[in-house]
Amino acid sequence: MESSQKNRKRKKGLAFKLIVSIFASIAVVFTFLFIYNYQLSRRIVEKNLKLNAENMVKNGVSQIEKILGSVQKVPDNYSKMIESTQFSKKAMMEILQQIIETNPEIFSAALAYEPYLLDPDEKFFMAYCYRSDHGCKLSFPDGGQYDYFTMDWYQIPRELNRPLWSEPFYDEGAGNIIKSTYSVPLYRKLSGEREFIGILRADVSLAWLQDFVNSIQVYETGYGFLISQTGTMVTHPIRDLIMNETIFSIAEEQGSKQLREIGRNMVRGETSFAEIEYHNVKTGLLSWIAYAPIELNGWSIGIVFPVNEFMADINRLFTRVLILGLSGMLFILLIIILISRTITSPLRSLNKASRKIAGGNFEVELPEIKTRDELKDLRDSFDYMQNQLAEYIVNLKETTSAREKIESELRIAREIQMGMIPHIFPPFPNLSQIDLYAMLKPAKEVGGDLYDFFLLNGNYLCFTIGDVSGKGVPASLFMAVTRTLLRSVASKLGSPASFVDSLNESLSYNNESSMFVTTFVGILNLQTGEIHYTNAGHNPPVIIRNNGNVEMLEISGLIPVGLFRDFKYTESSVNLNKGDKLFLYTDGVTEAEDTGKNLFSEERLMEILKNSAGEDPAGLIHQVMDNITLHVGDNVQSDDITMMSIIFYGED
Amino acid sequence: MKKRSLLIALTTGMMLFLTNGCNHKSSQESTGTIDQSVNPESDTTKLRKISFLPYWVANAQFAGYYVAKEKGIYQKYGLDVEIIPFDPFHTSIKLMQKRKADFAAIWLLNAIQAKAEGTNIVNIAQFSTRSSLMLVTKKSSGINTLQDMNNKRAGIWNGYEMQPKSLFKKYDLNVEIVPIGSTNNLFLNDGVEITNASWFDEYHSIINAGYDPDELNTFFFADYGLNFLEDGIYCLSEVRMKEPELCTAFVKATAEGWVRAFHNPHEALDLVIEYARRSNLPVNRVHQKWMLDRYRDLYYSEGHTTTYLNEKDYLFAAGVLKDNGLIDEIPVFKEFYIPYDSNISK
Repeated sequence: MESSQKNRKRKKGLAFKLIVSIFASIAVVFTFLFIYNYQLSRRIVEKNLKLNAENMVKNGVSQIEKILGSVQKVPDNYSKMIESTQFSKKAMMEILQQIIETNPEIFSAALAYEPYLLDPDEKFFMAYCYRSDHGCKLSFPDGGQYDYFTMDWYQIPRELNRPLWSEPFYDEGAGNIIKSTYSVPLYRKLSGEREFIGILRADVSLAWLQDFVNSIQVYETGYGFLISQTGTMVTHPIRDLIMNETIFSIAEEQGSKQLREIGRNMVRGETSFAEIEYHNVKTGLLSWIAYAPIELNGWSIGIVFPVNEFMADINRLFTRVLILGLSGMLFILLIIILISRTITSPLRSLNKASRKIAGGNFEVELPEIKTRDELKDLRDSFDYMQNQLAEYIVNLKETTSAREKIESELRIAREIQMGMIPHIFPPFPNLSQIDLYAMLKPAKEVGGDLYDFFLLNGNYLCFTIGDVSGKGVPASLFMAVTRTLLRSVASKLGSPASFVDSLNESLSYNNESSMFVTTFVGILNLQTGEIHYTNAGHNPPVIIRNNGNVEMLEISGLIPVGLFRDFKYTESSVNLNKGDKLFLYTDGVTEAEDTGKNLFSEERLMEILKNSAGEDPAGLIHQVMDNITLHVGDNVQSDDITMMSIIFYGED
Repeated sequence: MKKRSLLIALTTGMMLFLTNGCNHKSSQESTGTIDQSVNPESDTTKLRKISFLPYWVANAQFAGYYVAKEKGIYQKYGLDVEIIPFDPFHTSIKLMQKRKADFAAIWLLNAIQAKAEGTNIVNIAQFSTRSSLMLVTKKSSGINTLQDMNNKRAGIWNGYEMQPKSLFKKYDLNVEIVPIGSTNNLFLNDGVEITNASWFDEYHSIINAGYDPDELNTFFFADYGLNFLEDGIYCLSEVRMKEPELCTAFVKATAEGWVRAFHNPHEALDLVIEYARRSNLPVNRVHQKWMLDRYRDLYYSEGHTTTYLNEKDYLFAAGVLKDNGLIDEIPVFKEFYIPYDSNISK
């Protein structure tokens, strides 16, 4: 159950990775494209909007200025006329009447003079002419006592010395219409000095202006508005705001610093078509506001653009794109899931099959794969692997059984080989003249070392040690032959050289495999301690004197046995005194290797022998063996190790 | 915006106090403090009909009166108050002759002048304790101190020159006074460098014309030792003598109206705007809110309004009027100011 859960997890993992990586990449790309496209489109719309705003505002300004300009011309021209001549009061009144009668856009006009200017007895002179149902009416406000000197229309152009449009005002008498007054200061030249004499004013209804600005419609909720120089709303679609509010009071009401800033820019006569966020008073929605000044009277026209409406089309389009995109992504998701299924499901089957194969079932059926792709290749590889494995296992079984057979035979061969060598110590318990100890520690494989000893005539000890070239079964067979031949040639008394000659002759005969054996054959006279020996290419034995001196026998210069049939071996002799020992060994001793491939070495052997001079043969050999074991350590013993030691006690 | 005709309105308006109301006996007999003298449960048929004349159009500067009337405070004190709509063309002799107002709000200087001219009015409560008038300059004109005003031009409401003139004289400044009408447009058009304004009204109009407070310098007359007090409640001395409990009820109810207005500005502004609309006046809530807030600063501290007129303030204002030749004699303080809550020995 646990493993099935694991399996499921793994299955999910691959599909999950596929879906996450592919789907996420697609989603990222799609999102990026969507956002980029959306923003680009918005920017294009915004750019067009700005262009549109600029045109609308400029058009509005030029329309208004055209009309204001044509109104201005009338008082401007008349003021020149008045200044150039000395008119009587009556003539002035006629001028006023003429202005009203010939200029339908001017609702009323007035002429007002500085105190006592026309008449030393009259502080106020103001003639006022207005249009009525019965034609032009002329009047003197407040019965000629109207104090106009501190009125804006009089005072401000007087103080500023320039014509001026007044702030808008309600004329209740004329049906609550909004008016503005254009005032032109009048001057006369008096002894070279330019002297202010009064004001000529013309009052214009702003109904046309309101109609015009109100006619500005931008989409559904956009609108135009007009503010005076002090920010007062002159026209606005919300009638309650007109004359009641300034753009600044609306800004304060809304808590909008932005709108206040817009208002300040507007009253300063600045122009902007740029994006300015502002909450539409009518709809409360975020809008743009474009504005430009009307230079002639210092007012400013603003147009509110309902951004949301402009963007509505784009938003609609992009909502659709988004829906399509999401559907597309859903589709892609399905495809990815399908593809991942077609990949993972055969993989799962292969996985199951491979587990069965691993369990030893080579007959398991691999899943069929119909597609011709990598998966099919993988399946074929699995198939091939399955067949190869099956075949290999069959071979392996056969090989293993064969090897087991050989190994068991080798084991038997070994046992036989070891059986040939004397291995009961002490070998001659009744012989007091000598003691002898020998050891053959075979390497893993059967090897070619040998030792042997036997008595000749009861008075001589023949002993030998040898090492057959090579290893394995051939070496061991050669060793067996050598030992048997030696025993047979040495059965009658003779010299070691004659033994070796015979041995050489026999071994060299038909020795096609060119095997050879190094051997040392010695005959010890048990009474005298004299040793006659022939060393056929073997490591020279060591004599350990009873005084502790160790000496290696001289190298004979004779070749190993089995090489040349006609070779004549010579012999040498050496005397053992009482207590002297002879130590023989094969190269398995001196060439024993540690893990670092360092040899045990002759020097080391000599040193150990010297240190162990007091030991009996068995003690000596065990001493050397312990040292070799220590040296070799964990390394595998590569060659047979053979040692023999004889101590000569002599006759009592 | 509107101070110019104020003077005219007041000099004439103060004489319109009528005695006709005084001939009616108060429905309440008691002469104690109002809280006891007034029966809050008195039904409308028994309410005492009286009228009140503001010195200006419906604005938040009279919010306390509107709130007291519309929220039943006057009624609670047994009064049925008619607030006479201000009309510059009809606050004249005609109205006066009809004698239709029992109480009126008047600025101190105007009241002293009227009293000096023989009108028999008394101050029964002085709400204003600090002058709201100021001079305003634009920082851009470089006038940052009083001394900077030397040799500059100041737009001063026609008829309201006394306070600025006294200031310029006191600080030995040569300032050309340009009489202006009811707007600040000459100042806004840079025709003058200095203009006068009331804190609660014209100053905010300048801000509402696009100048930020940090672009303006203000100089309160009160800060330069020219603290001419403003609103007080006046009635004919006859009324004060014969019907003290009526005066107490009106003042107390009005004070309560102010406290309520300061605590419920939204409600108060709704009423002010309704009154203004009824009179077809341009009205702007933000501006009215500013005005109410400033009246709270001017009238209200530590939970109550004050109604006390300091003799020193009185003598100072009257003294300046006398020095300027606007009155011949300073009216006796005790005859001018008979607070609504004082005992009348006579």
